[in-house]
Amino acid sequence: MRKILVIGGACQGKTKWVQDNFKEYRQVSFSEVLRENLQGKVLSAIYLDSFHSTTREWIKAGEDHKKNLEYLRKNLSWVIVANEIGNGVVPMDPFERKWREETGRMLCELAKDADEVYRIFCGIPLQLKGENKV
Amino acid sequence: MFYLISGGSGSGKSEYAETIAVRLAQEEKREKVYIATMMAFDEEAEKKIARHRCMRKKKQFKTVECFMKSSKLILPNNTIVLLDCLSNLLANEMYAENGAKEEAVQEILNGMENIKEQCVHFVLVTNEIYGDGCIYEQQTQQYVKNLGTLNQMLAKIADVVVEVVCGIPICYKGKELIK
Repeated sequence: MRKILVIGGACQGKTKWVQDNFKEYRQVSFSEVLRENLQGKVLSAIYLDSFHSTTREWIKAGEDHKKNLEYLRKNLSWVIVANEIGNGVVPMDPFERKWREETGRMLCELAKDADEVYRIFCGIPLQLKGENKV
Repeated sequence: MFYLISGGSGSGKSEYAETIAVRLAQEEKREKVYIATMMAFDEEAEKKIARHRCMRKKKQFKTVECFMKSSKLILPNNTIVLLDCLSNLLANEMYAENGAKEEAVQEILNGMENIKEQCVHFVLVTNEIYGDGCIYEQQTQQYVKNLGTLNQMLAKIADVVVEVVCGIPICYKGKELIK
């Protein structure tokens, strides 16, 4: 069981690629993960999609996103999927800027933990980290 | 050597560029110069500057400020130079009162040549801003176009071109020159 980060632009087939290749991972929401973690369980084989939407909710709600990320990272094995959102013109709106910047930094942290990192482009994976070719 | 390092917001491009500069300086036992480009015009910018300063503190860079007119910049000789980042410099040249305005692209190209000539290795950080598919008003559109033009022209003369994604380098040019 491995830790896998999958990133890419919007609508590049990330979800489909993950669902085709990581069937043994169970799709969860972050609130489920947090609930079980807070009960003392450490999870394995979980699959969290649209991580960038989750980070947006965290930042919007003023939650301690660093703490949330710590919970997520500590689980044994995961697939986390996120859109790359930092590759556009820097927005005027401070919240939008913060979301992009903080999400990028969180993805850097997850990439450090991950055994494999993939960037999906037109449905095709480019492996950025790890040896285990899917 | 001339290293061009790009990446989006929060991609880890600055940290990666610093790592390269530090490694080169260690290997060749040379001084490191950091060219800071961001004007502290508000609290957010101040925070950002403080964050980068903190990152560089341990790495012992000599900091030189250059908000504009990089073609006139005089640097100490035979050093490793890190400039972070080109997108600030372009915004300053296009929008600041004493900026080069319509001549911004040419001014910056001259500036980068000027820096390159004075140092041993030049590590230049730029920015990926082309991925949102939005059409902006004319002024911003011109900025996007200018940065794209600069990135292309500088990539042509760079020895190494790297995009940093989630802290991981993807090399487009000069793979053999980075370890």
